[in-house]
Order: sequence, then C-alpha cells, then structure tokens
Amino acid sequence: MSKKIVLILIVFLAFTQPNAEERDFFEELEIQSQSESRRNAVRVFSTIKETVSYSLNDRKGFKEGISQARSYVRLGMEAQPGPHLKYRLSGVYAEDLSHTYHSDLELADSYIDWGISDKVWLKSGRQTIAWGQSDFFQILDRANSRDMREFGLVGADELRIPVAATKLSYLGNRWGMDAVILHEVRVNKLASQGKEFDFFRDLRPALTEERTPSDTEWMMRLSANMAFGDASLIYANSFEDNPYVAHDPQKGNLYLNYLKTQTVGVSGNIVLDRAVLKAELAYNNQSSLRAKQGSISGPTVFKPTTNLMLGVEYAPNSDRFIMVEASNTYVNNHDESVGVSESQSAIISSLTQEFLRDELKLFVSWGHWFEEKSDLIRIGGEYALTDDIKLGIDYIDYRASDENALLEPFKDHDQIKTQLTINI
Amino acid sequence: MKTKILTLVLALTSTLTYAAPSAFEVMQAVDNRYIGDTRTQSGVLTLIDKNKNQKTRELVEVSRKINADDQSVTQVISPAELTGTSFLSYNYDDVQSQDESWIYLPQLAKVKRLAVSDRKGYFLGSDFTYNDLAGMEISLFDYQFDTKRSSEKEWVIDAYPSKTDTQKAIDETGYTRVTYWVDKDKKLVTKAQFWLEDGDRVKYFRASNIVQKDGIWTPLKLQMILTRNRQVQHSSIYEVKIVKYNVQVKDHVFTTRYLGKKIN
Repeated sequence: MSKKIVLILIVFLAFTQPNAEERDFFEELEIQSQSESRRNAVRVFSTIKETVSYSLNDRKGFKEGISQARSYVRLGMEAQPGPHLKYRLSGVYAEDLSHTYHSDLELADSYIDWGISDKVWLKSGRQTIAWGQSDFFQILDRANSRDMREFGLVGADELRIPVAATKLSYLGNRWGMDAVILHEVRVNKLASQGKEFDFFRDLRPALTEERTPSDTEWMMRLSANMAFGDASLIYANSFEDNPYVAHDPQKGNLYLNYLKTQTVGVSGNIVLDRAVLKAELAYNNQSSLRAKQGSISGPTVFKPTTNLMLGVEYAPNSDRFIMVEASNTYVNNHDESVGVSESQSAIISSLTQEFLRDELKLFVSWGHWFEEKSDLIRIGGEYALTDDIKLGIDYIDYRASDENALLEPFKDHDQIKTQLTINI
Repeated sequence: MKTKILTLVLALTSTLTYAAPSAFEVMQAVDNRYIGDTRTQSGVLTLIDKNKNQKTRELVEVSRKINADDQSVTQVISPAELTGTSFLSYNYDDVQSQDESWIYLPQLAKVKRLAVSDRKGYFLGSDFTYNDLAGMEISLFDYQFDTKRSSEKEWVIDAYPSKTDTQKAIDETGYTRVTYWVDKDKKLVTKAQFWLEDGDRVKYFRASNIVQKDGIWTPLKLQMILTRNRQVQHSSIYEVKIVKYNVQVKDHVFTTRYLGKKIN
C-alpha cells in the first residue's frame, strides 16, 4: 500500500515539478551590453598567418623535413564615409624562412569605389574581379591572375592576385553591366628556379628569361538575376595568366612569354531545391599548348580552344556542403603538332562538415586530371579557438601515374601543413 | 428596406468583430502584424556556450515589403573574419514561388547564389533558426488555446504539426510542438517553447524590452535558450541597438551588384 502511495507521489511530482523548472528558462538573461561600433569611422584590419609545412618524403633536391615556415601579414584600412563612397588601402608582407615561397611586399586591395549616382558606380585601384562561377578553374575569371606557387595549397583569400583596374558598373534591379580596363599586367605567380614547386624545373638550364607583356587588357560583362538562377555574358581581351615556353633562335635560349587572347563566354547557375547547378562555357580565339616533342614549330603551338565547366554545390543541411566541378578543354583544329590531347578533362570535389556551431570544420577534397593521369587529395580541418584565432591542419597527397603526368614533378611532395590565423 | 439591410450588415459585422477569435486567427493576426513598409536595423547577437563563454556578431539589416513579399539585406560588421559578408534574400509570400538568396564573400570579392535555404538551420551559429527569425509558415501547424494558462492579457497557444501533413511540418521547421504566449494588445509573441525533433532538446524564447518605435511595437531584446534534458546547452541574445521604420530605402540596395557596399 505504501509503495503505491510513493509511486503516485513520484508520478505526481514528475508531472508537476517540470513546469516550475521550465518557467526558469524564460528568465531574462543579463549580459554586459555591447555598444554598436562606430561604422562610419575608419576600420583598421589585419590578418596574421603563421604556416609551417612538413614534407613527408625526400624529393629532387630536397630532404624530408620542414618545407615551409612562412609568416604572412596583411594590414589595411577601410572607410565608407557615405552611401556613395568607399575606400580601402591594404598591403601584404610575407617571408618564408624555408624553400617554398619568395618574400612578398606589395600593395593588396586598395581602391576607391564611388557611386556617381545610385545606379552608376566607378571603382578604381587594385581590386579583385570575380565573374566566373567556378571556384577552381580559371575560365571566365580573366582579370585576376592567381598565386600558384604551392600547387593546390594556396588559401582562397590569397589565391586571386588583385590588379590595378578601373571598373564602371551599372546596377539595374535584375540586371547589370560592367566594363573594366586593367592598368597593369599581372600574371600567375609561379614557383621560381630553385623552389620546390617549380613547373619548369626540367627546362631550367636553357630557360633563361621571362618577357613581361605590356598591352592593355579589358573586359565586359552583362549579367542578370532571375528567379531560377543567374546568367552572365562575358567578353575579355586579356593575356593568358600562365606563360608559354618559346625559343629564341638568335640567342639560342628558351624564354617564357605570355599570349594575348580574346575570350567570349557565358556563365550561369540554376537553383534546384538545396542544390545550385553552375556552368561556364568559353571560346578562346587562341591558347598556348605544349607542342609535340621535336615539332618544327618550337616548344609551343597556338590553337583556338573551348572550355566548359559544369558544377554543383549541394547543402543537404546547414552544416554540410558538397561541391563538385568538372572541366573540359577542347582543342579546336587539333593536329599532330600539338603535344596534348584534343580533349582534356579534370574534376575537383570536396565535402565540408561543420561541428560545434561552426567552430570545427573538417573537409576532404579530391582533384583528378584525366589525360594528365594525376590526383591531388587533401584532408584537413580548422578549429576556431576564438572568433579571431583559428588553427588549421592539412594533409596533402600528390599522385602521378606516369612520367608525363601533370603532377609528376610533385609526386613526392606529400606534406602536412599547419596554420595559425589571427584576424583583428 | 434600406435601413433594415444596413442594420443587418452592422449586426453581422459587430458579431464578427467581437466574436472570440480562434487560435489560428490569433496566429494569423500575429503573422500579419504591420511591421512597416521598410525597416533599417542594427544589433548585436551574443552567443553564450554552456561554460558561459561569449561571442558576439554585430549585424546591420535593411528590409522592405513589396506587396506581401519581403526583401532584405543583412551585413556582418564583426567579427573581423566575417566583416563585409552580406546576405540578400527575396522571400515570397506565395508558397509556390521559390525564395531567392545570394551571399557576398569579401575575401573572394564574389557574389554566390545560394540554394533554397535550410530554414531549420541555425543563423550564424546562434540558437535562432531562419524560421525563428523570419517566421514560420503558419499553415504548417494546427493551433489550440491552452485555456488554463491563458489570461486576460495573453493567449497561450499550443501548436502541433498539421494533421494533413505532419511530416512536412516537422521536416521544414524541426519542431514537433510549439507553445506560444501572445500579448493580446500588441499581437506579439512574447514567449515560446519549442520541442525539437531530435533528442530531448527544448528551446525557450523570450522577447523583452518591448517599446513603440514609429508607432510599431518592437522587442529590443530577443533571447533563445537551448536545453537538453533540462540543462542549458547554449543561449543566444539579439539586442536591437537602432531600429527605424518606413525610412526611404533605395531600390539598388536590394541588388546583387550592390552587395558589399554600405547598406545603412
């Protein structure tokens, strides 16, 4: 009998007590109220990165061990004194105590963005102009060259190299137009002689010179946003960002040069529920291609090419992100002088998963070049110690199945990279 | 004869006016409450973990209503790593129309189209889901008064996933049950309790410091506490610092090409 009473009491308490507890969670939380920052004032910002990489193998000219010990500082200021004016000044200094990079000291994004009217804007200075849909393949992103000194490992914030340009934009409600003139020619940063990721290592004794192009580059874009997706039509008159190898018969040496090319293309995306399908299609009136060995035309031939990129970004939930991009380059008028296949394809994919309310991010990515028989696998993570301090670690694996593979020179460069990033 | 008809119409109107509303009608009134044709707002979102460590995100938002549709731009002011990140969204009242959204990433200087958002996903690492902030589609739930807890000043309303499509309601909101406390005068949810689909997690919402701004009742402090087995796991507080209604906002602010520029 007494057991029954105890049981009834337990049941009674179980159904009455929680309400009292639940109400507690509605109590107002007191925090030290943060005042709104002075948004009109000049904002000073800086990023400090300390990177240490450890190479896991002996490779040509280099031993297993620390391959990179790099300090990177970006310092800048930005102000928006009114709704029609924004200016920004920033610079970068970087020093690598080991053997992957050179030192850098240069003006980064530094520009004035001026609204002549609500709908007409002029932006002048060193800037980044990202028009393409692809995050990896450089198809219609023709304004900015890229930092390729460490193949596959350069962070997204350092990848695009800002260029001095003037951009005139018209902002329609659902469409817009941009015209850009570049005031300097900047080309991809490639690892130089004696550095670990030197693409031209095997040509170096004869390769003695790099010629700098000095012609005006310009480009235009017409873009539209629709309910189902976005679309752009782009024309560019610009230099290829990667050099080609040429032979100087008078000096008897090889040198690097850059090809001016005209590109016309379309890019766009379509939203399908939780996925965004994206595409880029471009026609280049001429591209530099490796010539067949022994070709009378020299080490490089020039042919029109067509580039296609198809990709998908899929977020099954707010913590998971899947991305796949596939590209194909088709060589028009392909003949026996050309040393690469008529059609060359590559695929890049990645999976990112966030944990602990975005504090921990883990990712795996894989790149495969079909005709070049190469693979790149990267597994890593990033943990936010605070909002401003992040710690990252990456493992990267380069694979090349034969001696002609794209990544054959780097096949032993597998490494572990750690990075501490402080944003202020 | 005309007088008789007029009397009948007046009688019917007054009957409708003074008849007690249903729980669904109360939630409809809350959903349709006038919150201005345009609004500019800045505020600070504070995230508190179970060890009481705090993180803050400072945000600026501009929004407007076009007929029944909403357009908004939200820009992150701090922390430093996210400064300048901006979201543009067009949300359509018609459930058949797909919402549109874009994000501007200043590190890449790039505008990216976003897929249809996971509306039960958490906003900037907080305990507020996109649904909590933008308001849930009220037709997803069935509503009934909790007459015992309702009072002269407030209605207490229990919401359960609609019997016609229970799974859809849970899939889209992540909630298996919600209880709302609605202020009768202000037509405003002052408290809410959310039962989450996964595990023993319950969220507690409270709106406080409710003031009239430009004639519109506005809570200046919103808090959400996430609990698991009655233990606090995480809390979020959004404090509105400045809010203005019906100010002039130009069309170009709500375009993808303007993302990254000053919005307010």
